[in-house]
Formats: sequence, structure tokens, C-alpha cells
Amino acid sequence: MSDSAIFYFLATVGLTLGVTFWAARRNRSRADYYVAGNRITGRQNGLAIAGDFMGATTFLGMTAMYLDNGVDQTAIYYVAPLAGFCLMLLFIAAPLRRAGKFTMGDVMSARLGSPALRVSAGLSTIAISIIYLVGQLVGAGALIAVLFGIGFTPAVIIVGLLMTIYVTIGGMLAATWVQIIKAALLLTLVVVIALLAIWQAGGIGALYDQAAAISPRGEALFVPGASDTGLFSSMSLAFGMAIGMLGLPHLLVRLFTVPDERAAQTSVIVATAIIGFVFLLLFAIVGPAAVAFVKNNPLFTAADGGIIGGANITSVHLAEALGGPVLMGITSAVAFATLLAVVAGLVMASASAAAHDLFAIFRRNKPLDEALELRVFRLAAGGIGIVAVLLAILFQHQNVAFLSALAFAVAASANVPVLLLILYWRPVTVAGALAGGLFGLVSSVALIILGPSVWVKIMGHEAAIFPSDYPALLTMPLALAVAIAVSLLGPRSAETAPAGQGRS
Amino acid sequence: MSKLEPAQLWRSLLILLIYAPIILAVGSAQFRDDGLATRLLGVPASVWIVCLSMVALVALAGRFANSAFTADDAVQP
Repeated sequence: MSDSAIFYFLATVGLTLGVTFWAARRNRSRADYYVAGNRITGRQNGLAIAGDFMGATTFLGMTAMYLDNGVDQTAIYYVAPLAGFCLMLLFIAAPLRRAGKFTMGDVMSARLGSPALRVSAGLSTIAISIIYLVGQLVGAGALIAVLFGIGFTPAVIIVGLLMTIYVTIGGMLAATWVQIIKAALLLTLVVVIALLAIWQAGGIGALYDQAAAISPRGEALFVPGASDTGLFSSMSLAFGMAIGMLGLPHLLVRLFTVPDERAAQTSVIVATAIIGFVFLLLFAIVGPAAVAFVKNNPLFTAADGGIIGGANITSVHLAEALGGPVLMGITSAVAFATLLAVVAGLVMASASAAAHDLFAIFRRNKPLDEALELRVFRLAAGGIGIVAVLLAILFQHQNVAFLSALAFAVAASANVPVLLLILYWRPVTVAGALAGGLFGLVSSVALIILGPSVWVKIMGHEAAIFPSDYPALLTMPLALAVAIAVSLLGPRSAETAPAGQGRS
Repeated sequence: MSKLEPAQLWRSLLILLIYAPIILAVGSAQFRDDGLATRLLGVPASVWIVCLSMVALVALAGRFANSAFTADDAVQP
């Protein structure tokens, strides 16, 4: 690791820890810990959502994907989230903020007043967040091990320790500002890399000429549909990514940090604009620049013809090619901050669900003890951190690409149908919501296991039982249908209660 | 309970009208078209299409901002 990389790495850790201890002095109530006291402005929250969403997959993974795939398939990963944010703005942002206080469980119980639904929402939040968290930690461990020359296990423990410190000490306020700082750093860095790439290539047309000349695929690098991905898989991937975002708990809880519905919508608009701008630069300039400056460059090519350190390091190599060791050091630090911000958001969402939704089972009708609930929150954050680190170490040699697909598919199939029905469809019952959520969870997990990535590549069977890795196009509408059918045909719930009667 | 307004459905249809053809065009082997590598102002047509769709989606989000929420659709018990 170069001296500049060490300097920027330590500066990032120091800055984020400073923010955490600053936030800790301002946290007094559970509302401060869970939702930063609703004091985040719409614009700040938009930056934080952008920071929360643009993880290592965005900055590192998608550039790496462009290196081999070019435009093909990569475009879906760039367009789908923007469509998802538009849908979130239209259908989710304002009513969710209105109906909820701290967690998804609040929203679920606001209308139906069911403890069972609150517990179900809490479990779903924790399950999706841990799945997502393990995937991020495995990626983070591998990346940091390469970037900073340390082993996988210490790398994951460092990330796990930092994310737990941010959340247990600083709560949502610290997580928010870590995400805001990261979003600002990432935005600036991507602009600098894009400008340097165009300048050094001699114009954007020259950049594309250079990429086509270097890539073995030539001009076909810019031809969409060149891989053999089928129509169902493409559509289901795109559908799952866009719809799944509406059910990702760590994004949704960010909408509770602002004072009102208008600010929640402003958050989504600002986030969409920032993410759209960064995606535009990554797709149109940084991706082709990676091909032009990194692919086949002897400085970055291993003996086997691959990228030194793996394809996920492509962005860091590109920064070195364009701006030398200083830009490489900054890029490494931003990559590290990127990982920290996302995992902190995930721990935040799952710990608040554990303390606020699941702890309710034990509290029953006893009066609220905020101090006790906050102790549970901190313990839950620590426990979730330890579990996620252990799982990441356990899965370090496994193909974990399916974990992200699993998180999106489960969110799209288990959370979104229930959330939409609870927000918009009066006849929904507790039984219907539980049945729809359970069906979405079981069917999406089962079909991913039966799909090519797990059934064939991991479990070693000859052929997949379900032909696609992306089941959301099938499972989400079916889960919606199950929830509607059970609501209409099943028993009416005696637990149905007016809004506002859920626990808070 | 939030009221699902027709305007919301029309707007979501608009999003799909931008989104779905892009997905079909860039995502699936069935719709492969080598002509999309043709350059316009030095940039491949496929890149123009994807980038313009991104700009359109962000612009739609901005446009919806002024009309997506009204005080009348507040949650009613």
C-alpha cells in the first residue's frame, strides 16, 4: 500500500469517527438514535440516500462489469434504479413517511394494528439487511485486503468494528453524515476521473475509439444484447431491481429521518438527481475509460491476462493511470468510505427493527422504557455486526453474487406487495398481508436456490430447475395475488385497527 | 389510507414507457441490434439511448415533485 493510500485511508477513518463522536453528543432520545430526531433536511437526506445506495457495486462492480460486457446488461444496472426511485417518489415516499415513525413495522401496524405484522416486518428487515450486509462485507473484505495488503479476516473485522461503532455510538445521525460525506466524495471523484479521462484521451469520441481499439470485442463492446441472456431473465432482473428498491429497508428508513412528507419527496428527488448524474458519468465515460486505460495495460495486467487484484479493482487502477499515486490513494479511501457508509446504513436498519419491532414481543403492554430500548438497540447493532462478520468470513470463498440478487428478490417479493397493499388497499387483512409476505419470501428464496447460480454453479447439479437467477417478475405478482386472495377469501381479522393505534 | 390517484398511475405508465423499451433493447439477446454501435457525435447510439433515458427519468422525478403530493391525500384512519 502506498503512503498516500495510507494517509487518505486514515483520514477517512478519522473524519468518520469524528462525525460519530460529534453525533453522539447530540443524541439524547431514541428518536435521535433511530431517525436523527427527524431533523435531517430533504436535501441532506437526498445526499445520504445517494450515499446509502451507491455502494461498492456501483463504484467498483459496475465499472468492472463494463470492462468485459461493455454496454450489454450493464445498462440495466444503471437505468433500473432510476426507474425504481421514480416509482418510490410516486407511490412510497410521502405515504410511508406519513404512516411510519421509526421502522417498517410502524407502517405495517399503523393501519392493521397487528403485533404479528410488526414482528413479520422486523424479521423481514433483519433478514434482507443481513443478506445484503454479508454480500457487502465479503466484497469489502476482498477489496480492502487487496487495496491495503492485509488478510481477508482482519479486513472484515476492521469494517465490522467501524460500522458497529458508527451505529452504536452515533446512531442514525452519524450514519447519515457518514453517508453524506461519502456521497460528496464519490461525486467529486467521479467528476475528476471523467474529466481526466476525456482530457487524456483527447475528446470523448477519441475515448470511444481507444476503447474499441483495445477491447477484443471492438465496436461490439457498444452493442447491446450481445450476451445470451434471455428475455425473461433480462426483464426479471430489471423488474426486480426497480421494484426491489421499494422494499429495501435500509433505504426506506431514511425517509423517516426528515420532518414531513414534502421533505421525504425532496429527499428522493435529490437522490435521483445525484445518482442519475453519477451513473451517467460512470456509464458514458468511466466505463469506456476503464477499457481504454486499464484493459491490456501491462501495469495492471496479471500473468494470466486478468486484472491485477481482480476486476473489482479496475476503478482504482483507472485512477492511478489517470492521476498517479495521489488519485489512486484518494480513490482507495473513497472506495473504503463507500463500503463503510452502506454497511452502517444496513446495521442501522436492522438494529432499529430488532429493538423497536421485535423487542415489542417481550415488552407487551408495559410502559415504554426508552433507555432499555436503546440498550437493546446497541446490543442488537453489536450482535448483528458480529453475526454479519462471522457469516462474511464463512462465505468468503463462496460465490456471493447471488446474495445481492437474493436481497433484491426478497425485498421485491416479500416486502413490496405487503407495503403497497397496506398503503393503498383498504380491504387488506392481517392474514392476507402475512400470507403474501410469507409466499413472497419462500418463493423468491426457493427459485433462487433452484436457479443456475446456486443449483448448478454452487451445488454442482447438471441443469437448473428454474431457468433464471432472477425470479422477481414471477414471484412479486404472485405474492401480490396471494395477499389479495387471502384478504378477500380468508377470515376478516379482528386485529384490524385504525391508523395510529400501532405501538410507537 | 392513501388515495391512489389516476395521475399516479398515468405517471407510472410514463415511467414504464421510457423504461421497458430500454430494457428490451439493451438487456436481451432477442433484441440484439448491431446498428446501435453506430456513432453519433463520436458516441455510440446505444450509449445515447441509455443516457437520454437516464436523463428522462431524472427529469420525470423532478417534474413529479411539484405534483406528486397534495395535502388532500393525507392518511385517513
